[in-house]
Amino acid sequence: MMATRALLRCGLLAALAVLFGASPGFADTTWQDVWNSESTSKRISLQGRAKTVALTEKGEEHATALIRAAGGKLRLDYEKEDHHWSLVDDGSRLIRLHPSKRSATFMPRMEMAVDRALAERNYRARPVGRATIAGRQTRVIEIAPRRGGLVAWRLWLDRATGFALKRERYNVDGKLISGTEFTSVQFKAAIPPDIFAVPSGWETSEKGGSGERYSLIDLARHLGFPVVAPSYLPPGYVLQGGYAEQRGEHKRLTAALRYTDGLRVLSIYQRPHQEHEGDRGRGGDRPEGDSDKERGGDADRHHLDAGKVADHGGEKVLRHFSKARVVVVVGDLTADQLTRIAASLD
Amino acid sequence: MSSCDRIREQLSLYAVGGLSRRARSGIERHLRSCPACASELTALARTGDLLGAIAPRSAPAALLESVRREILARPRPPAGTRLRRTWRLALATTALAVLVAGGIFLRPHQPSAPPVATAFEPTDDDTPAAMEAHLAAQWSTPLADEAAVGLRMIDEEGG
Repeated sequence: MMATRALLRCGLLAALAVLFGASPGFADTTWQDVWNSESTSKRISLQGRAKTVALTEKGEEHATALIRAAGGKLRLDYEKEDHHWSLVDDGSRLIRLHPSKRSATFMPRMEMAVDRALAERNYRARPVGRATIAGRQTRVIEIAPRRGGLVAWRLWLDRATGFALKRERYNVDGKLISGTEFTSVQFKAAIPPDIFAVPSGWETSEKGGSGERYSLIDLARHLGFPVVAPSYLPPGYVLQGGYAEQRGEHKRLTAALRYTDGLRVLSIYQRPHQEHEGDRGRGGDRPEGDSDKERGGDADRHHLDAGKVADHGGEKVLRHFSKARVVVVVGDLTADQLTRIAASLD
Repeated sequence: MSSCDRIREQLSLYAVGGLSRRARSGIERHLRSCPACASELTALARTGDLLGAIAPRSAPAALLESVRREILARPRPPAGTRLRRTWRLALATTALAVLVAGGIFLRPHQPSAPPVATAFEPTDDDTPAAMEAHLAAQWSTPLADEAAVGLRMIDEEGG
């Protein structure tokens, strides 16, 4: 009798160990494969062709790209119908090459602090099968939010090198927003180092600010206007840092706050609202028929004016006006979350 | 004289693009680290914008006609008074001409390259700029699909 009870106890303990012990271990192994793939892509030397698709404001954009990487640098040469352009990541900057104008634009490469533990806390990774990509065997991995929600990424990892030969990214609504698939690839390719540099004699220009990361206090001091953090954030998001941006036609100085849940990025932009920045700019964001008159006249004019949430390349954008500032929130979130973030800045 | 005082003396010229490239760089360096001077510049730029927003207008034809009729309807004063009035009118016209000419020549011209604190026009320049920066940030995130992010960046730029 005693022996039977002891046996039952052991069996129960073994079952519990399998249930609570083996599963996280299995998940950890899959995350290790994902992080290994990330490290591989930074040190690998390769040349390959890929089909790439991205959702843009106009709809789906397709292109093929010649991808060359070596020593942590990357060059993408795109072809779309008879149009050609190139992007280079030289490890410290992004460089847009304009061959027809013999010019190059330097953009800051904003180094995001990668928090793998944060990503693993917010997402689960699991293997879902095998497939052949560019003639090579791959393992397919799906990454989805732990709190529920649809699959956010699918990765096809080369079984021999761990490199991601195919990636698909989905937004919170489950829509494919981008994907790249190698059609041919050659690892350990000999890549000439000069392809990552701007050809001599080309004109160069810069845009976008320094890419330097600030704390909120230092950012406000640097910009000379108050920078406000939202009191509401979607679950799992943490502050990554603040940046001083100067983009767009008017080169307005803007504070950019960047948040991440480990994989997705939420950007909150704010700049002082100018009094003569009048109704033409504000009106564009209002629901139809929501005029000042209908909302109670001029007294309401400077209250936080909830704008429309627009879909922009699969992510959502909200432009907001308050008495003090103009705010733009961009992220792969629900419309309700974007609205709550913007409202919490008032 | 403090460095802020020296900078502020030159801010008006800076705001209208009236400084050399070297002087501008010096001021821009200072503005990056001095919120008080940056705020001074913003105030100057705003004043400049308000002046620039005043567009010349023609008087309505009906108004001109009614003024002309009223003048013609008034009784003509004696000859001596008329002469004194003519002189006064000539003097006033000259003074007005001097003021207008002064206004034209002294009014700050629009700089070809806007200073750091630029005019805030009511166009939606914020959203494309925000998207561009957001995409640049995504480039370095874990699992970033650089080829697709690059395609979106180019599209944001307008191809």
